Amino acid sequence: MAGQNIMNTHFDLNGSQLKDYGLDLIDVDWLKQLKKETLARLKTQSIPSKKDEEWRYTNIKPLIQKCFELAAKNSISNLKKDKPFIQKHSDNNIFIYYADGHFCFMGNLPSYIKTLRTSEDQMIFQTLLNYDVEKIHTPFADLNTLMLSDVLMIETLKNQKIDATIHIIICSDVEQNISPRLLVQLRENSSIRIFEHYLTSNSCVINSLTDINCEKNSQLDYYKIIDEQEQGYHLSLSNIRLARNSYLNLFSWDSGANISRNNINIDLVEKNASVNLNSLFSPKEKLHVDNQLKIKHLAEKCESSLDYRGILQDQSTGVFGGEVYVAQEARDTQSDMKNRNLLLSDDARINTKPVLEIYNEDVQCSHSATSGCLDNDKLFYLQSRGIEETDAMNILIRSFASEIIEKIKNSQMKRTFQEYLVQKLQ
Amino acid sequence: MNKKNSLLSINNLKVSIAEKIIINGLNLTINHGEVHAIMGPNGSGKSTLAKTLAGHPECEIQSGSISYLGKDLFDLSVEERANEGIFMGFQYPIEIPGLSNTAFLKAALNAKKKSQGDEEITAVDFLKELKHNAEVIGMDQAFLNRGVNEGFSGGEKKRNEILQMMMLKPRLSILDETDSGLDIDAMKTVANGLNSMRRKDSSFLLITHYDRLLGYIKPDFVHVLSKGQIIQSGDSTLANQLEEKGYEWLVKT
Repeated sequence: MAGQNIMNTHFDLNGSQLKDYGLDLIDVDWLKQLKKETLARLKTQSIPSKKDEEWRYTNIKPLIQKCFELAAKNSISNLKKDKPFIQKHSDNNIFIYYADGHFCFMGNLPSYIKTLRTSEDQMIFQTLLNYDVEKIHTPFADLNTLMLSDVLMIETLKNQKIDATIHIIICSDVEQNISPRLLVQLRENSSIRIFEHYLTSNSCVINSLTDINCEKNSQLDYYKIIDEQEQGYHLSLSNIRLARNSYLNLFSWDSGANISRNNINIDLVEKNASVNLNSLFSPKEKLHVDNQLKIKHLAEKCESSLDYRGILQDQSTGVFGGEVYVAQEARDTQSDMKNRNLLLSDDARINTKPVLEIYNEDVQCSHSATSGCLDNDKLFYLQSRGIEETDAMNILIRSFASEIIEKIKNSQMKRTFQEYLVQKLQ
Repeated sequence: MNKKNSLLSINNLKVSIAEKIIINGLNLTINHGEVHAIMGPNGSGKSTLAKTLAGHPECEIQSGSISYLGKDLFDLSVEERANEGIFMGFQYPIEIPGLSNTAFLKAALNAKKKSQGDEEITAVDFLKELKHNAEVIGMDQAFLNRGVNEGFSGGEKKRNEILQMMMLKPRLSILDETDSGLDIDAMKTVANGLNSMRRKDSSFLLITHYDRLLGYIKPDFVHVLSKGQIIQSGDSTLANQLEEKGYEWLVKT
C-alpha cells in the first residue's frame, strides 16, 4: 500500500514500480537516462516532514501519498484536442493546454514556443533539463522530472518584443498526477507576457516546475491563477534568474487546494535587476495555501518588492514564508516585503514569517506582516453611508484585494483578475 | 416647540462609552430647515452626541429617547438611519484604499435608492451630478478616482465628506468638526457646499470648537455643551460671546 511507503523516511521506489513510472515506455534515450538518474537520486532523499523548518506549517504527508498513488495509476483524462473549450490563437493571445501529460493547441505555435514532442531539435531540451538537475535537488522537482512526458519551452530571440499573452492552461477532469514542466528563456532586450492558469475539476495532484532565465534588459510579465477543486493538491516550484537590468513582474492569485504550496526562488544575479511580486491567496473551507519565497540579492543596485495578501475564510489555513537574502557585494539594495492577512473567521489561521538576511550596510530593506479581521471603523464608515453590513463587508474584502489588482498595468490581464475577483469574492 | 412636527427630538439622553457616562441628560429639538450649532470645550460630549445619532456601536444608551421623523431612532440600524436621511460628517474620515471614491459614492447612493424602492441611478446622471458637486466645493476630479480618502490631506478629507453629503442629500446633516484643519479658502468652499444645501427640508447640526465656520453659515440656534448637558442656548450672537469670553463664564455657573 502506498500509505505504508510514506511512513518510511526515504522514498521507497523499488524495481517493480519502475514500470509504473513509464520508464520502459520512453523511446528517447537521453530522457530515459535522465529519469534513471533522477530516480536513483530520489531514492536517497528524505521525505520532507513537519520537522523540516520549510514544511513546519504544511502537513505534506497526504500529498505525497496521493502523488504516488496517482503516479502508479496513470489515469488518462478524456480531454481531447477537439474539446470545444480549446480556443484558437488570435493576434494577441496564444492558447496552450496541458492535459494527459502533453501540451496541446489548435493550429501552429509561433516559432518562439516549442514542445519536447513537436521539436525536432531535442538537444536544447536535453541541455536545459540536464542543467536543472545540477540546480534542483528537491524531491518534488525530481518527481516532476521522473513523471514528465512533455516540456514547454518559450524562448525569445534577442530584441524580440512579443505583445501577445501566452495562456498556459493546465486542466484535467479526472483524478491524475500532473507534472507540467515549463522552460522560459528570455534573450537580451526581449519581452513577453505569460498567463498560467490552473483549472482542475477533480482531485488531481499537480506538481509543476518552471525555470525562468531572464537575460540582460529583458522583461517578463507573469500572471498566475490557481483555481482548483478542494480535493486537489497543488505544488509548484519556480526558479527564476534575473540578469542585468532585467525585470520580472508577477501577479498571482491562489484560491487554495487541499494543499497548495508555491515555492518561488529568485536570484538577482546582476546589477539593476528588479522583481515585483504581488499575490493574493484566498482559501475557503478547509483549504490550505503555503507561500515560500526566497529572493537573493547577489549583485548591486537590485530591487525587490513583495506584496502578499491573504483572505482566509472558514477553517482555512495559510502560510507566508518570505526570505530576502542580501549578499555582501549587493550594495545599494532596495527591498520591501509585505504580508497582510484578513482573517474572516475565528477558525481561520495564518502563519507568517518574513525573514531578512543582510550582509552589507548599504541597503534599504523593510518588511512588515499584519493579520486581523475587518476594520470596524471602515465598516461603520460604509454603514453610515447607508450600505448594509454584509454589502459593506464584501466591499471591504474586495477593496483589500483590489489594491493588488489595481497595480496591474496590462489592461487585458487587469480585467481578467477583476473578473476573477468578482467571481471569487462575492 | 411642537415635537410632533420636529425632525429630531432628544429627551433626557444618557450615553456611555466604555462604561463612562459621556452624555448626561441631554435635551435637544431640531425642526425641519433649522441650522443648530453645538459648541463646547474638549471632552464635553460633542462627538459622542454625533456618533450616538449615527448609531456607532461603541455608544451605549443608558436612558432617554431620541425620536427622528416620529420614529424611535434606536430601532433603526446604522444603515437605516443613513437611508432615512441622517448623515454624519466624520471628524476623522476613514481611508479605504482599493475602493474608489466614485464607486463608494455610487454604492451609497444606490443603497439609499434601494431602500426607498427606487431604481439605481444611471451612470451618466451619477457622473454629471458628481462632477457638478465636486466643482462647487473645489475638489479636483483626480480625487474622484482615487481610493476613498487615500492619501488625502486633512482638508481634502473634509471636502470629501461634504461631497458625500451633497450627493446623498440628507435631511439631517451632523457635521463633526468639519471646520477643523481647514484653511480659510477651504472653509469658504465647504461653507458654499453647505449653504447650497440649505432648504426647508434639510437641517444641520454643526459641531464646532470655534465660531469661524459660523461666520460663513449663520446658525438659527447655538448651544453650549458641557459635561454631557446643554447648559446654554441662544441665537447666533451666543457664538460671538463665546469667542470673546471663552466657556469659563458658562461652565462656572
